[in-house]
Amino acid sequence: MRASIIRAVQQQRENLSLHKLGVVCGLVAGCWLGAAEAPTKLVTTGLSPFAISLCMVAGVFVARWTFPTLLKGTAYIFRDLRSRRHLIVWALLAGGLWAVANTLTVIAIRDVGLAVAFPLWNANTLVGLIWGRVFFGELKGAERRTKARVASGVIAIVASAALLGFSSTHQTGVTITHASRGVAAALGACVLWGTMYIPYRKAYLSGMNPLSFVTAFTVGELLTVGSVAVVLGGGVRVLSSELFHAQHVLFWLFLGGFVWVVGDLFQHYAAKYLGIGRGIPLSSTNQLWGLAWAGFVFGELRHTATVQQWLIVGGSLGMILGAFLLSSAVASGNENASRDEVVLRECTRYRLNYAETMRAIAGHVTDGDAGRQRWWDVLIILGALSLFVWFAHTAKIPPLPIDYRWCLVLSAILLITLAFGVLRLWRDTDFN
Amino acid sequence: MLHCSRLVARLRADSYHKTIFLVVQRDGSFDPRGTPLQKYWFGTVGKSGPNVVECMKESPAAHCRSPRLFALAASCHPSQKRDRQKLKNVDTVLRSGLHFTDTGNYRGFVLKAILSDSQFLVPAVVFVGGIILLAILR
Repeated sequence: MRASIIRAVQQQRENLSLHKLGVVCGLVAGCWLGAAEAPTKLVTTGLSPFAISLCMVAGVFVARWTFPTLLKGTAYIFRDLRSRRHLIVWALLAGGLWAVANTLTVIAIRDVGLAVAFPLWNANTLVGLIWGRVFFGELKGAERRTKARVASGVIAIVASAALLGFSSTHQTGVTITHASRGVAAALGACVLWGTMYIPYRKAYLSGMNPLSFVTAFTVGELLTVGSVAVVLGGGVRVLSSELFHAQHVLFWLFLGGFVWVVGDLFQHYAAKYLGIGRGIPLSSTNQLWGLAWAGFVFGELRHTATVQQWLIVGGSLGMILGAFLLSSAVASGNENASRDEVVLRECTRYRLNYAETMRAIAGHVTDGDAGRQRWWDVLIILGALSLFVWFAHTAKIPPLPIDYRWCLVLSAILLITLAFGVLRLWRDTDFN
Repeated sequence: MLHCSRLVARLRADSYHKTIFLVVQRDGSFDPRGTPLQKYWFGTVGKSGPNVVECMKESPAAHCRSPRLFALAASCHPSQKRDRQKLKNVDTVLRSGLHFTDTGNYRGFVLKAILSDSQFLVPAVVFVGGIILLAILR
C-alpha cells in the first residue's frame, strides 16, 4: 500500500516535471520561430516566392540533419527510425503537408494580403486542438478547470496573433484582387498545418525521438517544395537562373531556415511533452517575437498610429495571458490514463513494445550508442558548416535601417533561451 | 514455437500476489529487475492486484506481438527470496529452447497496418486536397 502511494507520488512529480519541460520548449520555440523572420527581411531582391521557399527549406534541410547528427549521431537516428518504420511514412506525409501549406500562404498573401490571410491560417492551432481531442484523447478525463484553461488559452493566443498581424500590416494598402481565391488558399493552409500535427502526435505517442522524426520530415518537405517550385515556379531552368543571380541573399535565407529549425525542434519537443493541444499554441507566441524584431531592429513600427499601438498592446497582453493559461493547465492522472490507452492502441496496431514506448514517452530511453559520432557524422557537420561559410562569404547586407543595439539584445535573449532549453532537455531527457 | 497465451498459462502455476513486467528478448533472455506495471492499466500492484492471467487478458496483443522485444507479465517479485526462485524458474523455461510467436513479414505488416489505420486517411486526403487546391489557385 505504502509502495503504491510512493509510486503514485513519484509518477505525479514526473508528470509535472515533463509538463514544465514542455512549457519551456514551447516558449523557446516561440522565441526562435519569431526570430526566423529576421534574416528573411534582408532579402530585398525580386526572387519569386517559390525560390524563396525553396532556399529556406534547403537551409532547413541542412540544419535538420546537422542538429540530430550533432546531438545523437546518425547511427542512433537511423536505429530509432528503423524500430518504428511506419512513422517514416507519417513523417514524409507531414513534411509534404507543411510544404503545400507554406506555398498556399504565398498565394493567400498575393490575393488578399497578410492582414486577412494571417488570422485565417493562424487558426491551425484550433484545428490541431480538435484533431488532438478526436484522435488522441487529449483533454479526455481532464478536469473542467483544465479544459477551460486550455480552450481559453488557445483562443487568446490565436486572437492575439491575429491582432498583432493586423497591427503590423495595417497600412500596407494591399489591393484585394481575388478575395475568394485568397481566402480559400489561407483556409487550405490552416487545415493542412492543423492536420500536420496528427503525424507529430502519432510519432511521439509511439515513443519516437523528435530528432529522428524531423530527419524524415525534412525529406518530405524538401521533395514537395522542390517539386512545387519546379512545377509552379517556371521550370528548372528559370529557377536555377533565379538562384544563380541571387547568390548574395542565399545566406540570409539559409540563416532564416537555420533559426527556424531550432524553433521547430523545440516545438516538436513541446508537442511530445505537452501534446498538440497545449504545445502548438504555446509555440505560436512567435508572433510576439517576430513583431519585436520587426519593430525594434528594423524600425517597422516607427510611425505607427494610435490604433496600431493599441492593437500591439492588446495582442501582446492577450498572448502572455494565453501562454500563462496553457502553462498552468497541467494534465491530471485521468487525462494521462487516456493518453496511455492511446499509446497502447498504437503499440497494438504497430507491434511496438508498450513498456519501452512508455519509457520513451517519459524521455527515459537509455541508448549506449546515442551521442556517439562516427566519421560520417563529422563529415555531415563539416559539410553543413562549409555551406554556411560559403554562402556567408558571398552575402551582402542591403542598405536597410537596422538598429544593431536591439539586434544584440534580442540575439542575446535568443541565446539565453536556447541555453536554458538545451540544458533542461539534456538534464531531464538527454534529448529523448 | 510457443504462443504467448500458452506461456501465460504455464506461468499461471507460478502466480503470486505481486506483479512485475518482464521484457523478454528474442533470444529468451530478460532483465530480471523488470519494470512495475502501469497502475492505471493493470490495476493496483499489491496483494489485491490482478494476477498474470488477468493482466494478459487486459492487453494480450501489446505484449505478444512486438517484433523486437517480447513482453510478458509474470507474477513474481525479485525482492523476495521465494520470488527470485520463481524468476529463475521462468528463466529456465525461457532458456530451454522455447520461443514466442514471431511477427513474420514485418515489412508487409507495416504497409498493411498503415493502410488499415483510419487515422492515416485524414492527413493523406488533406494532402491530396491541398495539392489539388494549389493546382487550381496558382
